Amino acid sequence: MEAYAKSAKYPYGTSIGEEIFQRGLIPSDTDFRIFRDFLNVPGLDFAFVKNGWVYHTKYDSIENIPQGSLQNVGTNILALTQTLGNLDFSEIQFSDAKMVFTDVFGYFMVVYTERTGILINLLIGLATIYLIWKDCKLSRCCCCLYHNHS
Amino acid sequence: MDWVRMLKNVGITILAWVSGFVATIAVAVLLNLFKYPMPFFSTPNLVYLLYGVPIVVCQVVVYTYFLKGIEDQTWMAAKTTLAIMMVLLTFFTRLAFVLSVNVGFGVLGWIVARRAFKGEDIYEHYHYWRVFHLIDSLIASFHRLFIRFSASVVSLSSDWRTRPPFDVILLLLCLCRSIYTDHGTLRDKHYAQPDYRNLHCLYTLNPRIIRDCPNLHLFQEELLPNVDRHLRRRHCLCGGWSRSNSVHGQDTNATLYCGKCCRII
Repeated sequence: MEAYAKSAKYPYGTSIGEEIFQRGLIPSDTDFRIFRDFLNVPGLDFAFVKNGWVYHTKYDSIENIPQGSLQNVGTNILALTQTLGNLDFSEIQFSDAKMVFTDVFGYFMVVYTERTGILINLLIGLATIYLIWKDCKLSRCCCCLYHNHS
Repeated sequence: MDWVRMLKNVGITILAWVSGFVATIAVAVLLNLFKYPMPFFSTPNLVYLLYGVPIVVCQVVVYTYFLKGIEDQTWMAAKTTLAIMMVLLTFFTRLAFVLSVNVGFGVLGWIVARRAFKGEDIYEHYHYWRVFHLIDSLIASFHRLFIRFSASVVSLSSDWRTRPPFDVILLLLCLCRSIYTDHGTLRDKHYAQPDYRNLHCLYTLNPRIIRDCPNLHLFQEELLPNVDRHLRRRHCLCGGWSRSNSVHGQDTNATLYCGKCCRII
């Protein structure tokens, strides 16, 4: 994922898609599953998500795929292959850690681990609850003052 | 007492979401009742109009009823609920990061407004701090994918040809749409009048719905009847679904057999 984030010229992706797919909410599968399930090979899935009903039908033709989409995927995969090809795999430590990722305007990717994501979410969530609680307290005081004044 | 007020707001928000959820189920049932489950085939984004409008209407009605006279609290109530939901969900799913962007930027704008308009009613300056929500929307490129996914999922559920009143995916989608509605887009007081005879929300809709409307586009219309034919599915007595022996749907007259018991249907 980090290699994709570094190399892809037109990054487009989000962990939402991965999460939905892995939870089986999309009634579909990937041709990559045989490598994943039996050889435990890590990989990246690239998919076109629009106009999906022609998929695996006789209408699944090159004309139905926008040329820009093909170009984007091709450019990204070429850059990714070049990056991966120059990596020293003996120095890479594989882990099962899930990542949280999203692209920003299609210009770059934000990637962090699930653990970091939990920390960020807790920080924002608890800070928000505290601030709103504080606001409730203040506004109640204001209400009291207002009622006393009136 | 402050906690009670906060929890009350959370309860109202959940009720508003449930009302949106019920509204979307009702729409789904009606569409199927009128044999109209296919608009998403040719116009996937129509889902935002057909489901989005009833969601917003129902939510506004609920908020208006329960927060009568203090409609400005709608925004705060929704943000509180989202924050609590995020704290709870983050341990179970990575999807919670969607909420962190929404809540984070929303509250950031609110804090800045509180500082900038100290001593004043910041809700009078609502439009200024709503800018932060635009940042949230813009940064949320995942939202684009959410749109695509929503459309794809609805299309897929149509592909199954089960034509049930609704299915699990559709239910989940309804739930997502209901929760994902952006509250307090305009100052709620402006469109949620205490007596909801003046429901202006139809004109001042959620921007996430408005923004999606121009995206309505027609494509593949002429292919649909053929796609319909060879993607047809039947339900077997054993509980399984039919599969076609046609390779990649090339043969529209291919025999259908049950994917579970292999019986020809």
